[in-house]
This record gives sequence, structure tokens and C-alpha cells, in this order.
Amino acid sequence: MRFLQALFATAFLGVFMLVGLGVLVGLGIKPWWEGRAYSHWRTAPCTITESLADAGGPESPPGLVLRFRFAWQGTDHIGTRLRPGSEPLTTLEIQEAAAEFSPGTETTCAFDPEDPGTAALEVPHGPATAELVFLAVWAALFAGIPGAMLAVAWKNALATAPATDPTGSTAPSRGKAAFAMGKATAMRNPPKEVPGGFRLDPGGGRFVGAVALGIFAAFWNGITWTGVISMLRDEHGLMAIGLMAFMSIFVLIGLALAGAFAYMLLKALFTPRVSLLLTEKQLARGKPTAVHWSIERGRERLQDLRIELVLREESSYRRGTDTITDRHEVRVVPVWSGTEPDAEGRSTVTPPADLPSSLEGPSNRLVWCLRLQGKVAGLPDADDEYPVLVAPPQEVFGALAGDGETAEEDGGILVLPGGPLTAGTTVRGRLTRRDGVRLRLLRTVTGKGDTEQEEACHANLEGPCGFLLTVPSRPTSWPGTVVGVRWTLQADSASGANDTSIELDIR
Amino acid sequence: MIAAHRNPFRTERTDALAPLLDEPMAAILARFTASGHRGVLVGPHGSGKTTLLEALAPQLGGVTWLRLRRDATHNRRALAALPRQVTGTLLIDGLEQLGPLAWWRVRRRAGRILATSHRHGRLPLLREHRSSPEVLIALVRALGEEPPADAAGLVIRHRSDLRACLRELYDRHAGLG
Repeated sequence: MRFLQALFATAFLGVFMLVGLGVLVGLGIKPWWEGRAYSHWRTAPCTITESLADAGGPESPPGLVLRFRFAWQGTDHIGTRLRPGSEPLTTLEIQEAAAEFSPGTETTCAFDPEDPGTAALEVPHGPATAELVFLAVWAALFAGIPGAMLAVAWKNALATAPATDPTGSTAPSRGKAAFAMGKATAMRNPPKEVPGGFRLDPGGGRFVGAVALGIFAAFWNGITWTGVISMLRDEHGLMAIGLMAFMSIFVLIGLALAGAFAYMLLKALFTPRVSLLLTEKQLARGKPTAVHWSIERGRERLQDLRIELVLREESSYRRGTDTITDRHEVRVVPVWSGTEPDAEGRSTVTPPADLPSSLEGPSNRLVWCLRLQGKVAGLPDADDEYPVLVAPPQEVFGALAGDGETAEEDGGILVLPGGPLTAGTTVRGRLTRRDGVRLRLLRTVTGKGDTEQEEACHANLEGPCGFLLTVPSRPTSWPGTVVGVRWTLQADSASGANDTSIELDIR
Repeated sequence: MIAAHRNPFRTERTDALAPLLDEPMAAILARFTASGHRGVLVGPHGSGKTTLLEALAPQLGGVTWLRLRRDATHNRRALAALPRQVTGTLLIDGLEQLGPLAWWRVRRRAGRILATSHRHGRLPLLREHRSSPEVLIALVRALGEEPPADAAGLVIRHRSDLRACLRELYDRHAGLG
């Protein structure tokens, strides 16, 4: 299906690409190439002395008998050609030229200064630089945008479909649970390994946004101002006032777009750019990690610099048919701040141990990032975010298994040690029910956004018995404000009656 | 301030609320049968159309869901995943998101269609949802909470979107203003 869609897109978008390329070649490259050979020719005023359309005969083709006189460096020269080159003229061209250049007509001719005898009245000249730039931009839009869309369509068409569980089971095996848990913390913009550490990139591209806005602003203003100038030229009186009033809103939007483009371009080009380097690929709660910053350009304009570690909750939900994302900043940890910073410096960053690790779910996220803010003289201030991954030093996935011992009925149906459970450890529990149950460890991410529930692991047990629970290392339980992470251990019987669960506090 | 997983207005709880109806669900199903197993629930955003559709689904036997959003990419994928011939009832959440051509293609694939929409047309009207402060108060009570004193103002401010009203109540409990 995707392959067919890509083929259809190719057929549809191919037309735009061909038009774009055709215009560029026909109106830009071809005239430029033809005019290149005559770029050193000079022009001079000339007088037509003879002009006659020769109808030709059975043995000779029609032709133009042409003669004109011009002066170069004090010497008179005679030219006989309408155009340089050997391409024959059509009958219509002959008739038109004979009518236009009648004897006695004063006009301009072009000639080769190295051989003034080689002269012509019509010499191809390539488009001006501004015309070429305009054509190139136009062709890039017509050929480049559909080309990029086609590349995406074909990339999607040829991409391998995600693997699915052939059994259709919703109860994941241990490996499947491990995969899912790993996926839940994948980063959108991971650090890149470079000599000396891991380089962090800001979350959003400054320059890409500026270029995209610039193209849109150019389109908008080009169309709007063409209309406005045409109206001012052709219309007068009340009609002109009415049309201008109508167009004024478009003009204002165009000016706002141009202003926004200028602002973004200034920011992209001149706002100081800071590079961050971490010694570790990921941060761990409570563990200091060195961060090295260097100002790549514009340090002299940077009046102060502040680097902070930020934890933010993000929850997405549907409002009608739109998807809304709410963000709530949980904590800001200062990393470094100072005025007139040096070109580079070093500090340490330590995610507080009482805060949770990163979480990346479809609707709920716990996002850690290094935020860099700087006051810049005379330019938009610097404000960039560099996503970082905060994860436990060792990844431990949840696991459940019977321990082969019989449990006594004491203290409840499902019993675990009191108090918080430490992530990554294994604890012993007791199931005192006298029937077969499916024991499941469930992670629920809930709050303002859509609820996500995932089974970390399960075990089928015959009670009463003891069991061992390996406590997952992430995400830890998190009360949150718009995102909350809750772990529960749930015992389900085959009949569905007497199901029971306990909430775990994983830290 | 209440933690996210204890907030009485968390999505986990509000999504589980049963639809508040002034008639039995059997009456709606009877109208669905009478109209040739085709019908639409019409109402504004957050008025309970999807909740009612989800409540009706178990009583319709085999169903296939087509959940649409204001997101062309999502909708294209959802339509691509739709079987050529739907067995049972096709449930469409957000019928107004389908263009005329897509609707023409979808309606040929299913004999039975039950949908939600913001607009009338395309399918026989089964029920028109209207939001009111009274419905909001009843929903808040169903969650075991005291209704807000400004229920009417909330409904007006959120243009009858009861789901948005419940989210504002979430924010109030979370101390988000």
C-alpha cells in the first residue's frame, strides 16, 4: 500500500519537479550557456544599409540579405548577419527582420572586438545575476520541495514494518518486557560520541526554522507585493483605495513574517553558540558528571551565561480532534552561572537522587535537559535546551518467580516487605491464597494525559507460596503533578473473582 | 496539591466514567437497528460522544474501530489499516474528519456503521449530545468529589467541552492554578 502511495506521489510530484527543472533549464541555464560565448562582444550604434527578404528558388533556400555599417576605433565596419552561429532563419523570421530593419534604420549591433567583421544585430545574452538567482530559488522550490516529499514517501515505503508478535499475545515474555521498557526511555535527540566525551545538540534547529520561515515569507510577500504594485499601476481613485484596504491585511502579515524571519535569522547567525560536552553518555541520579562548555562564536556579545539542569513533566492528551501537550517544570538545578564568561569552562552536573529517571512514553514523558540561557547585547538572547538521558547505572528489568516454598497465611493475601523498595534489588514476597493465580507487575503512568499501562513481568503461581520479585530499576515511582508513575503487583485468579493488588513504592 | 496518581480528575478515572444518559442504552441501540444499522451520535467536543460509543461497543458484538484525529498522517494510517471488508459494526470516532472521497471508500467497506461527529449528515441521527452545568456536576459527583461552585462558568468558558472542564478541575487539584 505504501509502495503504491509512493508511486502515486512520484507521478503527481514528478510533474512539479519537471516544471521546476524545465523552467530553470529553459529560462536560466540554456540562455546563460548560449550567451557565455558572446560575453566578451561589444555593442555599437549601427545603420542598416540593405535589407531584403530573398524568397529563394527551386535550388536555393529563402534567406535574408542584410548589410549594416558601424564604427569601431575610428574605422568603419560592415556586418551582414542577423544572428551569430550557423542556425538558418525561418521564413517568418526573415520577413519580420526585413520589416523591422529597413534600410536607413538606426539600431545597435554587437561585434567581436578581436574580429570586428564578425557582427550581428541580435546576439544572445545570458540572464542577469539577479534573474539567475530568482530562477534558481523558484526552481529549487518547485523541484526541491516535491523532491524532499518524494524522498520521505520512498523512505517510508521502503522502511521495514515494525515486528509484531505472531502469537498476538498481550502478555509479554521477559525479553519482550525488556524491549518495551527500553523503548519507553528512548531519547529523541541522543548525545553524539566525539573525542573526549559526548556532545549534546540543542533540541531545535535554529537555522532550519529561519530558512523555512524565510521561504514562506518570500512566497507570501512576493505574491502580495506583486498584487499591490499591479493594483497601484492599473487602478486609480476609489477602486484603488478599496483594493488597497483589502490588501493591507496581507501586507501587514507579510511584514510580520519578514520581521519574524529577520529575528530568527539574527538569532541563527549571530547569537552566541555554545557547545556542551558530557563525560558520560547518560547521567545517573545522585552521581556527579563533568560537563564542559565552550562558546563557539560571539563570546564578546555574551553578557552572562546560566546553565541549569531541568526536569520537566510532559503529558499529552486529546482535546476534541487536537492533541495538546501540557508541560510542568518539576525542578531546576543550577549547574553554572556567571557574567562575561570565558570561552570555555567546566562544571559538574548531578541529577538529585529524589527525582525520577527519564521516561519517554507516547503520552507521558519525564524529560531531563540542560538549559542554557544567556543575555546577549543588542541581539535576541540565547535560550537553548540540550536533552540528556538520566538513567540508573545498571539497567534491571522486573522479574517474578516462585521460590518453591510454602507461605503461611499471615498478614494478608499478598505480602511484600514494608516500606519503599530499592530499584534493582530482589525481595521475597508471600502469596497466601489457596489457588492458582497470575501474578503481574504493572506500571501505570497516569495524570492529566492519556493513561499508559504496561506489564513489566508476570509469573503463574500456585498459592500459597513464596515468590521473588526483582524490582525494576526504572522508572521509579513518581507522584508528579501532571505525570505520575505507579507500580502495582496484581494477583489475578482464573475466575476473575477475588483479584487483589498492592501498590509498590519503588525508589 | 495532590500527586498526579492520586488526583481525582486524572484521566485514568475520567475515562472510566460511564456516560450520563437520560434514556436507556437499549433505546439508542433500537434506533440504530431501526435505521438499518447505520447512525451517528452528534455533539460538541467533550460532550460524551466517544464515551457513549465505547459503552455501546460491547453490546454490538464484533466491532472494528476507526479512530480519527485532526492529523492527516494519523488518519491515513488508520484508514490504511482498515480491512477491505469490515465484519460486524464499524465504529468511527470523529466522522467529520473524513473527506468526501475517504467517506465514500469507507462506507462501501462496512454494512453497519456507528459514528460520532460534530456535524449532522452522512448517517441517520441517533442522538444529539448537549453539555450543561448539570451534566458536569453529575460527572464530578460520580467521581466522588464536591461539584465546583462555578460549574456554569466552567462550561461556558470551555464552550461546553466537559472533558476540558474536568481537566481544569485536575489543574485546580494539582495546584496548577
